[in-house]
Amino acid sequence: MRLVHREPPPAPEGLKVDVFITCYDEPLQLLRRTAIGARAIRYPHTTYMLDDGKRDEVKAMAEGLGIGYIRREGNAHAKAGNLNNAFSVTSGELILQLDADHVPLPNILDRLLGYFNDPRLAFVQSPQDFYNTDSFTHVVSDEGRQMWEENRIFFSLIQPGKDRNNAAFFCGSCGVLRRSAFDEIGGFSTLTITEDMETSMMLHARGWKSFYHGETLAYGLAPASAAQYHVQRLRWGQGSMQILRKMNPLLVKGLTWQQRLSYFSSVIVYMDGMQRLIFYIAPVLYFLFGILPVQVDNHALLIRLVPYMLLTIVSFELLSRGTGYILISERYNMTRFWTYILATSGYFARKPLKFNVTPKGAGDVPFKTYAPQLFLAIISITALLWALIARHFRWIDYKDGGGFSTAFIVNGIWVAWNLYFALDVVRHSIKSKQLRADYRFAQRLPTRVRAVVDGVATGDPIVATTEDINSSGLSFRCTCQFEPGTLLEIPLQLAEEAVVTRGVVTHRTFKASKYGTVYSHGVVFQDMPLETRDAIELHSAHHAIPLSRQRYRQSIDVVENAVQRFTNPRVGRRHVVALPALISATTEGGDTELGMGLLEEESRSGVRLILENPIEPGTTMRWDVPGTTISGRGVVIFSRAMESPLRVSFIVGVQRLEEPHDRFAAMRRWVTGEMPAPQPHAAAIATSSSRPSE
Amino acid sequence: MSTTQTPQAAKSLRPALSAYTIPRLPRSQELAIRAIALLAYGYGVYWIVWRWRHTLNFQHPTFSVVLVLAETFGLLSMAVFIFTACGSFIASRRPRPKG
Repeated sequence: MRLVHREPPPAPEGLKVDVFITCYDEPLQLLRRTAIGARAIRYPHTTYMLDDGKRDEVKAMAEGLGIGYIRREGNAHAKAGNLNNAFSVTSGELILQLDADHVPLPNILDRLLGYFNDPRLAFVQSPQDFYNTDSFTHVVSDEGRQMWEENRIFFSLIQPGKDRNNAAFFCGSCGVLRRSAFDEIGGFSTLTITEDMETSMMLHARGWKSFYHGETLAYGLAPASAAQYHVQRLRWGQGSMQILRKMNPLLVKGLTWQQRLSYFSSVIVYMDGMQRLIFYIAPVLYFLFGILPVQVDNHALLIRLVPYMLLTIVSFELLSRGTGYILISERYNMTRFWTYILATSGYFARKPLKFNVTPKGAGDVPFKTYAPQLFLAIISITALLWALIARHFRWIDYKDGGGFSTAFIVNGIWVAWNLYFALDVVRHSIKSKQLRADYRFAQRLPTRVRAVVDGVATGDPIVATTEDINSSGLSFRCTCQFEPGTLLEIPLQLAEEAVVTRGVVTHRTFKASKYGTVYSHGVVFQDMPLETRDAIELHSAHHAIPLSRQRYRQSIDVVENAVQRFTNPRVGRRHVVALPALISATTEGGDTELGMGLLEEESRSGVRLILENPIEPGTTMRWDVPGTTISGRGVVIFSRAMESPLRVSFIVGVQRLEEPHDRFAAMRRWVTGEMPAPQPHAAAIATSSSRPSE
Repeated sequence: MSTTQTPQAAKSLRPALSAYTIPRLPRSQELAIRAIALLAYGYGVYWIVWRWRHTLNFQHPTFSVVLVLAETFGLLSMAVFIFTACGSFIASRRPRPKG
């Protein structure tokens, strides 16, 4: 499979690089994560915290971490002013700019600096990727195997397209800037509230170049709730309108026509809002007052409209390569139409606009975030009901002469389509309220849990798998249970070091399945040293996120999706097991123990394991999950590497050798309601391998 | 789980190229997609000309013109989207920076 990307030139040695982290009022834990991530970047650099919130605890944290701290007088020009001030007190020739929430990967500079061999390069931008996959802009489907993200279309399709015309613009974070280029134009421009795009345009106008490097090198936070989403989009939209008014890209001197068109296209996106409003209201007006905006023979309209719609949708899906998906895109079009209308009204605003910092972290969902959609839903329903009544009593002439006219039906479908998406957005907005204060990173680590009595870990170690983790707690699953309130000792093998954590069980849930009962426990850490917290944060940011990202299928284009659906029907349902399994390879001399691995999924045809070392395809092997009925023998079909900047893990697919004796056992159990009794937990792993196979 | 990795595992430890790359299709399919996009756009132009010339309802001129204007804007967005997206597929043909 060929990928649209450039392999970057190697980073030259000896460059003086500064890393800027701009912050305002973000939670301290979030800043610390970014700061230790920035400190861990491998290329030699100096990190600075640019604190516009002027908080003493941020200063103390920066000093504790040994990174620079810059505070300025006043708050003039918000982020642009903050950056300009930092430019004036530092001296690095290149600057990596990060927003407060963007945790960089250790190789970010190694991957981006090579581009600066070109002396006319002003900046290089990398994608803004997000780790909170439960955010407002993520759509996760297929039981968590497939992911769609709203910004992706911009960063994997639009930016590379702009890059081809030397018009990729700086997006305010995750980019490396050349100081001399910014000095030449007097630092960040402060005319508008989207200083990044504006400054990029000024650089391009002076003949500087830009590059877009399409590889995720930092993970940040996507808007977690609808409220945050609207604040962010309103700012982008208002800034774009200011750009259009103050420095219209079609008129600015020094740009090529491709660059003009590129910038222009990014600016007019926000006028979509007005267009959408017209489309949403038109059928309602028809039903309420019987007025038609089109005067033509019904069939003449329909035979032209249907092919037009089909061609538009098909070409959009094909061009967007799986980042589009018309049905999901429609939801977000509906979500933002009112915000975009508010933003476009900024075109006429004469007073300076406020730079609203996109709020990060937990948040409530105020009514006004979904009020326009709710209003639209109500008038759509009203219009439909009214039309049916008014038509029956002939109060309004819909010109349908007794039967339902084409116009009536087309408008009916149209209004129902809008109604569906309006209600969908209301539901999605309300649901977007975040309960947890900080994000938990999905990470399945096998571990052995022991109860702590009188300060000493006692009892048999119980094999378990963590489900998610952050520096304040984790949750794990295993086949036996601990009472809430129990103090546990949980050793964790992180990517770079092993740590031992202690925590108290706060809640417990269980799920009976066909292979036994699995208990999930929530744990809150106790007396965690700062070093351990940082180790967990770094492991999560540099290993858990990149690894879990590789397990999602992304941008599956419609053609591929359809082909796979027909050619690759799944053999049986897959069940998520996520428990540690004992692995052994079968050779002529008997079984060789390979240690523990993670059994992710099981289906009738086989299992999927996650191991630290690959197994040669064709090897016959056995697996056994202690405490459950899961065990079997099979042949390795594939070993695929999953890489993070720290380590490699391997996904190993195994095809079952013997078919289960009874193909309908599961169905019969389901019919009779009989579940297998939970197996006694095999605490000692060594003895469980001698259990006879099924 | 063991903490040491076999040489085979360590060897494949190269900088991860993750997420934001889109699979590229064979040349014929790339061309087919562009052809379909251009066809769709050509039809869009035909549609909008037809809308402006033959379908305005002069009993409600404002409503009619506003709707057609919205459609015309849609066609403009489609043009810049096609312009950008088509460029993105051939982005890697651009000569690499020296070094």
